[in-house]
Amino acid sequence: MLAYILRRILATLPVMGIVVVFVFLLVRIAPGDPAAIIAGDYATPETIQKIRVGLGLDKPIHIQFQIYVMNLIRGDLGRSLHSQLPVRQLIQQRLEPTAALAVSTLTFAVCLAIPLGILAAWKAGSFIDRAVMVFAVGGFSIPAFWLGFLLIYTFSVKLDLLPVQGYVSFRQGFLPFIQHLILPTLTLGLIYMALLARIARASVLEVLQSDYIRTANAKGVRPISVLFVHALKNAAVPVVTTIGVGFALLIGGVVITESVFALPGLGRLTVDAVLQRDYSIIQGVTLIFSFVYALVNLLVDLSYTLFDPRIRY
Amino acid sequence: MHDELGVIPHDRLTGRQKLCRFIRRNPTMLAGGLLLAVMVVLAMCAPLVHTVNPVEMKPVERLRAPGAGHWFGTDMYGRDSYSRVIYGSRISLLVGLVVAAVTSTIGLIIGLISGFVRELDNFIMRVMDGIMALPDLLLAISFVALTKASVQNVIVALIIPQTPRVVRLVRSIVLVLREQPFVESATAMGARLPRLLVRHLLPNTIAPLVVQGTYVMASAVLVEAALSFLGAGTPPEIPSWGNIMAEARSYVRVGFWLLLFPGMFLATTVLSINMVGDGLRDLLDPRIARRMR
Repeated sequence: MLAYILRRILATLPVMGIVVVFVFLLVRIAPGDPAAIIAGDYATPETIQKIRVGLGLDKPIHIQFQIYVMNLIRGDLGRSLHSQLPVRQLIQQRLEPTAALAVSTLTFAVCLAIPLGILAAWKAGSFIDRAVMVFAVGGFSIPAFWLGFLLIYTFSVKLDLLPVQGYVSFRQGFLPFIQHLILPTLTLGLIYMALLARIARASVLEVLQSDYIRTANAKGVRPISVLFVHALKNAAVPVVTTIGVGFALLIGGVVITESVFALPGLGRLTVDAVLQRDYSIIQGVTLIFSFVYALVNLLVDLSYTLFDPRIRY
Repeated sequence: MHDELGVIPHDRLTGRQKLCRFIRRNPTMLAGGLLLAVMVVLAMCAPLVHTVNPVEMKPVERLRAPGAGHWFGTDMYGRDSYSRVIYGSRISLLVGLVVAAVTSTIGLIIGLISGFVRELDNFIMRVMDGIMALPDLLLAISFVALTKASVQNVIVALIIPQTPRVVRLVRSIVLVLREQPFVESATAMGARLPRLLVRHLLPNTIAPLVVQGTYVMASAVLVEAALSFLGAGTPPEIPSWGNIMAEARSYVRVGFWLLLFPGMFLATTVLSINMVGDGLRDLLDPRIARRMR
């Protein structure tokens, strides 16, 4: 068991290595001179050269890579090109709103989508099933930012129930924290829920065709037990995989939602960095998000053995 | 004409009956396809559907609510919102189609090679895993940040994250197929690698590729709009749904129609593409499974 865990962790390392190389290469590969683009249209050659030296782009490429990796190992993600603040500090400051949004969205989506999917699979062909499918396809097609504005318009502008934008840390009061988080969570959560409900339904539907389910029903086991004890465990693997894979969508969604609702999180940091061409920040945030994504997928892989003891690598 | 079960065998149906049966069995796909066709026609015939110049500013008419003269109202510079939305559909559909086409082509080539040439497979899959480890939007944003904002760069930025998925799909099919007898017999008859790939393996990948292509297109349309909304996509002079909504975001209270209509068109387009994709998948899946057996 422990060996399996270690093997899975080791398998993630090469992928992370490639991510690091990729992020490093992105600046150097993209067409155009990054220093010139960062400097802007009206910069003098001296300014461009200064930026180039500042980014370390004047050194040979393997030296650049060495410096880059050495810094990464020490936890140094470089400095923002605009504010000269350490990227690491900027990320730490902005981590809380993003984490709050991500956790609440995941919880909301998973807690609602799985029962919905199970219900739809159980009553396959019925009106509930059709409704869930329509919701699943429709929900996944709606752009997150549009949904966000729709919700803002309905609940904040017209009904005046919730604040329009902004974020309040829970240290400053639990109720305002929740109030500011409801609409962003709904926005992102509904879309994520649509994806999950669909996969949950398909997976549970397939499992319900199995012989052991028929046996359980024939034995007289209560439907709830059949669904939640027998069916769910066996249907869990594709669902959990989708949670892991959908996490990338969640990250993208967080960037958009933070922009719509003006949450001072990592997503907003990225967007501002893009608009300012602050490549150090973009590099740092991309690395962090990729690491988290890899971690989530690792946890997903490790959780397979919980659901299906037959799975070994 | 009816057999024992009362069903008319397929080859005995008239063309009209075949059509009716197809409509009854695939309602979502046809509805989606129809909707998508309407969108495409509107986009292509933009100057003909009662639009005016989408970038012409008339400050006198700023922020008018939807009404007789301006079906979707006007924006903060007095530009006609309806015209902007219709012209915006051109960008979205163009980007979606090009990204889907290029991704499918590149993914097909790489996937075929990766699945068949064992020596390259490991390396290619590691690279693809690396690309897939980066969240889509971030990858696209990073790319656009390094280059000038233009439609071409947005297209390239969208192709990069989507290609690994297609590669994986094609590769998985090739991996199954290369053990099949027909490949072995073709090799025994002297077929070399290119002929094997093109003549024998490629046709089996077309159907899943088309289905995946629709999903890629839907994703591309959404991500392009998201990029434009964040300011990292289509340059602001060219109206695109994301652009229009980005400019309208400060006007939630006074001009919500500016956000409502582009988003509605965007959602409808993506929905129709998804419906077509789902319908195609249901249509083609049993056939693929039957063929591979």
